[in-house]
Amino acid sequence: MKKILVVGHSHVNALKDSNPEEGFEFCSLVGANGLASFVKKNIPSSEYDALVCSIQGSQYNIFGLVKHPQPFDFYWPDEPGLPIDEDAELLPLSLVTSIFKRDLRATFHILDTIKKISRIKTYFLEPPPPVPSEAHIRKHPSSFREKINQHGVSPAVFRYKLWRLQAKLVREHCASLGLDYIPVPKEAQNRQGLLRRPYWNIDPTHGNAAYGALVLNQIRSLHYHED
Amino acid sequence: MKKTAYSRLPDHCFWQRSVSAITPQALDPVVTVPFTIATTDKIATAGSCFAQHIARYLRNTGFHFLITEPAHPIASADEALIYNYGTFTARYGNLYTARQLLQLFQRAYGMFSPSEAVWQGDNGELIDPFRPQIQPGGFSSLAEFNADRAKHLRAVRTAFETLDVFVFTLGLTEGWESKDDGAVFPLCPGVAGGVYDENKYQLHNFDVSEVVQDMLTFIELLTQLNTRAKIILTVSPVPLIATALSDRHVLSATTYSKSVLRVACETIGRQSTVAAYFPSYEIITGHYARGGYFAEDCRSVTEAGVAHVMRVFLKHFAGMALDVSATVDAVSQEKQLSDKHLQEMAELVRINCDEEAIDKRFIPAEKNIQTGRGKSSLASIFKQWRK
Repeated sequence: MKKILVVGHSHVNALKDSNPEEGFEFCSLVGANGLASFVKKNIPSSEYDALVCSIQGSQYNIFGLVKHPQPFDFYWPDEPGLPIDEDAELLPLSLVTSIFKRDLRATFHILDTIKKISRIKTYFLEPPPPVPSEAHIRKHPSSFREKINQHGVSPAVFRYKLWRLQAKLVREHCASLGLDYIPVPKEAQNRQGLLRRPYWNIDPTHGNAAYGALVLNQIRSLHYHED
Repeated sequence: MKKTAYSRLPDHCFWQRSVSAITPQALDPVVTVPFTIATTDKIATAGSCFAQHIARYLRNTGFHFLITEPAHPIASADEALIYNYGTFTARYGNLYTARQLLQLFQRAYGMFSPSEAVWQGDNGELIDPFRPQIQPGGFSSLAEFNADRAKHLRAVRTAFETLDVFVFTLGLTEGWESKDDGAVFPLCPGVAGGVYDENKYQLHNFDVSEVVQDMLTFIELLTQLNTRAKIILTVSPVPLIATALSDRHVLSATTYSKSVLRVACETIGRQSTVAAYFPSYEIITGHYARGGYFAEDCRSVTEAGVAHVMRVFLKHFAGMALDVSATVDAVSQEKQLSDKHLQEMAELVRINCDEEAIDKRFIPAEKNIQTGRGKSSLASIFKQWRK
């Protein structure tokens, strides 16, 4: 039976941790030579049905997990009802977009490279949405403890907007490459679009194994058109 | 020798002595200035594109260049430039005409609310008719547009209320105005937003009396609000890129426009006790330079020309020599703090993701849920992973 190859960075771990019985193989791009090694890898269509990319995905946390020393905010026209932080400096969306595109260049480069070498159906996996709970983030701050103590956690709605903006830009890039974009499973999101509690990892930015299982089911269902 | 009215006049009154007999670089047409500028004085700038050069030099020569609408420090220097942050004191873009400046003041203080508040761009984006090229892609929603305009006009008010010196460069006499309420736009509708409609818009070629009246009204409003304010007027030496008058050659239209502005400045200088004229126009366009301060297109001003203008400006208004090495913008403290914060966050995200990506076979379960690991424990995990 042919497999689906999942390649990428830290968000792959949630999928791997869900211990899928069969049908999936995982490949890490973590490390300075991760991409170079992967490029050399043979991905024969006789062995693999599809390639799923989970590339980086946490860049938005650089700007928004922890409050910036000079907080900023922006309008997100796709969801005009989202509130604006009155204490933050309002920036034009196009400027925030321009800044994000600068930071997403590495992601785009990796996608461009993968597109060049892949001869099988290739998908891009949207990273999980932000965790709504500040308490959870403070309880499991991972590497961010000191920064969080210093500046505090950004409001969930702000982190959500940053995540949506990042997703939109990556989705557009995927479309330009002809890659199919797999959005976050609806079941994983609460009414505000944030990550539901059963899927929180014991860190501030990743999904857990249950989330990974949900995503693998989604991939199966999409690729094999299973109900 | 026969005595005449010219006999006792100083050298600067004579072309031979003050122009022909000196090297072009040494030409200094300023005789006196009515006030000086201290490095602590807050200097605001506005005007046509030549004013951008003046702003740049003031920023880089140790003056307190007032910026009331700065770029957020997450923006790079290039992004700040593209979005017109710091180009002038506030993000108003080029103000080519005296009427635009007056209406900016009136809009900032609620004395004028133009009927045309916003234009729609080709791709659905929203354009500010009064600063149509302020940012690429326009505004993404009406809420964003309204909020940004309110923020901008607050910054304009802060500028007028806190400045000590206002340097304004008059650029054009030709402007496009709304037939409805006389609102003057920096560009003809349709050029960078809006739709040209001759039933709604008309060309207005301002004459001397209109420019003088607009400037004097502005000066009165400004000084009522801010009694410290002093004003330096200059005329942009940059020719018109185009005239809207079909029966005029662009060169003749330029001569007319610059002449009107030059006469208006002279008149204002005589009538106002707080306004001074500075002859940057003469320094760039004067015969003595033989066109050498213009680039190949005979329109753009060369860096050497700008440096000459600023050398004379600094000498008279500040008693300073121009430090030509001071051309690089200083990085603000806020920018340094933000860059450091974002670099640290990028590193923390990397560490967080590396921790998550490390195969858990190599990490004891309790370590995996432990938070805030020190470098030493991380290093040992990586070492173990490499093995």
